[in-house]
Amino acid sequence: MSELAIYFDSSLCTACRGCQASCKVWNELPSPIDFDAGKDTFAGTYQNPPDLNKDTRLIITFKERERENAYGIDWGFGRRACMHCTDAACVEVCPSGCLHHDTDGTGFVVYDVDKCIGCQYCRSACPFDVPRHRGVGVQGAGIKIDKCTACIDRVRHDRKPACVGACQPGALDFGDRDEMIAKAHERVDALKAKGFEDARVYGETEMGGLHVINVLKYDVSMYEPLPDKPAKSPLVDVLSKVAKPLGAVAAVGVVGGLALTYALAHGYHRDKLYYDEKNHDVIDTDTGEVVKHIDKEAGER
Amino acid sequence: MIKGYWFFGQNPLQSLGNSKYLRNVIANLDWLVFDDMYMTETASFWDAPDMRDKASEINTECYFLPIASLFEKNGTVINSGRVMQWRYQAIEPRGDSKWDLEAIWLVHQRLRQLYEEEGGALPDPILNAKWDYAGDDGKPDMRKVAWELNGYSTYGATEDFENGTPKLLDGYSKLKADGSTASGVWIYTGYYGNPDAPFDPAQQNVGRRLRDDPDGLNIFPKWAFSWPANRRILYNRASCDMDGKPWREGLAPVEWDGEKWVTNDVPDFVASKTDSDGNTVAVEPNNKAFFMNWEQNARLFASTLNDMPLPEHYEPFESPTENLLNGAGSNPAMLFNSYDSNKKGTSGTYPIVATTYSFTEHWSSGAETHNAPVLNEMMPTQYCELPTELAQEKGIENGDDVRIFNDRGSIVVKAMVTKRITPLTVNGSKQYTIGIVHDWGWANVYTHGDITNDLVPGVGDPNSFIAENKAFLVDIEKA
Amino acid sequence: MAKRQYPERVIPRHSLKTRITHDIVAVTCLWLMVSGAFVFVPALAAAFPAATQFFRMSHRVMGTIFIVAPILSAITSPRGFKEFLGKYFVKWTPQDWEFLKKFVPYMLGAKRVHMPDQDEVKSGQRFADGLLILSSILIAVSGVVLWLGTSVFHASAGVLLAMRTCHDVAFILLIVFGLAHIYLGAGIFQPYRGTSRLMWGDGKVTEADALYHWGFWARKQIEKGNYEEVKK
Repeated sequence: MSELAIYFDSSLCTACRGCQASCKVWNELPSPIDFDAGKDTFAGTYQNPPDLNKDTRLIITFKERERENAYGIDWGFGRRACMHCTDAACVEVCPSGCLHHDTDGTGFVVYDVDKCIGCQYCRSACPFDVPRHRGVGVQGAGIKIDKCTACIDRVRHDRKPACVGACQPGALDFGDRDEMIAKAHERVDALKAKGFEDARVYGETEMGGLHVINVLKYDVSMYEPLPDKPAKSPLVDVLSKVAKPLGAVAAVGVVGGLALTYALAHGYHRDKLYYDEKNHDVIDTDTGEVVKHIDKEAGER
Repeated sequence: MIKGYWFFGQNPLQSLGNSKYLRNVIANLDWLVFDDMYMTETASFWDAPDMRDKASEINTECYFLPIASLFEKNGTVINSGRVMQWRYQAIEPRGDSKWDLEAIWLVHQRLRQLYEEEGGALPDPILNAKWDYAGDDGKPDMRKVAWELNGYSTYGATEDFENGTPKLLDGYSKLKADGSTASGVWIYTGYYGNPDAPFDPAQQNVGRRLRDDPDGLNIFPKWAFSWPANRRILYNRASCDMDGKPWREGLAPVEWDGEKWVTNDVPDFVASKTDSDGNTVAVEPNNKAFFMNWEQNARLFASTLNDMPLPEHYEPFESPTENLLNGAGSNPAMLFNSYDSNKKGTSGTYPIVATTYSFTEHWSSGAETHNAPVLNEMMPTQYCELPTELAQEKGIENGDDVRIFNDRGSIVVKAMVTKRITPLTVNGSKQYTIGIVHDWGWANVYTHGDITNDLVPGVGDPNSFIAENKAFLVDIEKA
Repeated sequence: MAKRQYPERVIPRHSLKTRITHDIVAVTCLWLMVSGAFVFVPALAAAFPAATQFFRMSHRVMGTIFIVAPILSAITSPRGFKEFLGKYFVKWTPQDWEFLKKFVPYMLGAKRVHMPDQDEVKSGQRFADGLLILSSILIAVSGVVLWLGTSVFHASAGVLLAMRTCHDVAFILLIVFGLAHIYLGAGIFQPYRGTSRLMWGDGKVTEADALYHWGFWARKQIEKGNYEEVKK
């Protein structure tokens, strides 16, 4: 299968959140049911829940700012979910191989939840701060990752991801990655012609190429927390490329070195010693010889 | 003298204007019946936060009838595009809940019985009502109701209904004014008009599911039925010019090809006629595009509206400014504006203009949609949007509780301070507007809010009776 | 002439509390390193995901014991703890430096290389044990931040990555110095045979071994009468 991508055009999005709801429905993710849930933490925005969480894989972000233009205001709608990176840092740090690129070659980062050991390394490695986990707690067992899977279960049956299927204004699309990139460039050119000079294709080269291609209508600051230049932390390389080989070398080295000393000490024998505390003589008990005399007057001890 | 009221799946004590006044006034009725799937604000009006402490003093006998949802019954659904679609029952109604029709059925039968036993004033319309729509199980059969609404030949109709052989009519042109036909709704005629399959909705127009889209016009003429006569686009003659040529190439539902009208939609004008020899001939393009008018032409003025003939600018019932165009101020034909209960306010006391609207993710009063946790998660609380300048003046911050009030009511909601609503300049003065969402109430099990319509005046549009939810006066303060 | 029979004497070296504390820390440390390996070595985690879950849970339990045991020990025996510190933080003597310089040649040629007398804790011991303790503190602190920072509160990605790096560095140090410590301390290395009883037995050392390893200390103890005769 060729590489595929989800396409999102923030300039067509009406922020209806049909995508957010259909993602939850398809993936059977619950929403809170306690009375007036979320009321006390309401921050006066349409962005609810405020961020991704263990039961929410996709949210639309909202940001407004004043501007001197025909509308007097910019209101940016962003699509926040896993970006399905080619150079996925989460895949690199995952100890159990739970996170991996789809074996059919679509480029989507999927996971085998049975293999998740709940270490949450993926979350600290991700430059977009996407992976979330359920079952997080002090005892450590049963913690499992949750993130967008590009509805790989639907894609494998020639269907579009749930979010794409729900989009009424056609802001979301899905298909061959190169085609989605071409479509994005066409749209960004059209936006620039209309005066949206900061319009940008986001995802062509970032992190080796994302499998979510965004058309950003405004500059990236209107799509917080989307980073301008997403990059893997250099510590990820240290952890995955340096620490483990170093550990292996250290282990092998020390075992090897100690084994050498053992081999070289084969046949070691020493005579027993005895200390005559009256005469301050150290005596070899086999030969009876004084091997050392402690000269107390001279300050020896 | 009204003694009681029967609500069917409606929540007017949440959605009508001046709702606080209404819920207090409705307590004067002897009895109320609520047909609903959910305990709505209407069904539990006595439990409103401002009434529950005095609920024991209310003498209204209230009955709540649990009603089946649309998946638990057969029938038709219709949308604002006039498209009617037959829907099939998927599961049995839960517990003791019944179809609306069944509820009415049982009451009607009981009424008949009482009239027969005890007599009473004017028994004839009750005892002689045509009510032969029972299925084999004694319960109402929606298909028989469909025959009645569609229209049929009345000769032998009593036996026809009994035997299941109604002589259904396929269009309203078959309806006569001489008693030989009957139809419940003439605009529906043809929706269930196939006499060869009276018990199979799939073989009726209303049950069609064909996706044919001739010429890619998105008309889908064989998907269900559109009243009247399956006409999908009204006044479709106006899609072409005087010569019958489409205003936009490739987008007209009808088109004159030089000899006849090519119709991808049922023409809403006289496209053909029978000549003196009995042949059907095409009517050449003319200026007659609106055949519901006797002269079939467009008019510059309206003759059927209560505030006709010409459009005019009127200020709302409560306005912060004077009407510069019309000395009457607000619409003189406005309904109920003389009622004291509307407690008209002035901008001296209530300087802020409020408007109300829906939150996209909720449907109407929210009685149904608040039961979907995913929708509640998207907006966990009732809110109002107000300009940053107004918020600064009042010391209100984003997420604060605010009180919005006038002489009709007072509500507390969360503030959403935004640059998207800017102060207006009206007649030279700065005027603040705020927007309040209305889809909340006290009755849901997952969320609660106040009834925004407590603030709205209960006046009515002269033609549609709709209240003035979109412009009225309030004041706001941090709660 | 018959060979003169010298009395067999042993010198007490490690108190019960010292031994218990050391043994708990040693066992938990080993468990922690094995259980940690199931996350550090991707092939292990991939091959045994269920076992890895168990090891991760046990890692936290053992980690808690690993941290609490020595702290509890120090709190309940403040004098002993002070003495312990006094043995490790001493002024380095010329013999101490000589010992360090000769250590590698000694390991490769124990039959030939003769080490200078040492005080109660050899300089090499102070260095190696010190690194073990410092690595343990580093791994413990970083471990607690990793544990609590991904459960009770949420630490930032940068902090977690840095803590993991520290945890990995400390782990590598513990592999090197831990294996060496066991090799010598448990008496696997031939010249060190017999020393395992010091921490895993009665905490006493024979006079002969004491004179070999900790000459200055051994002679001082014997002069003071801190020894027991082993009855035949």
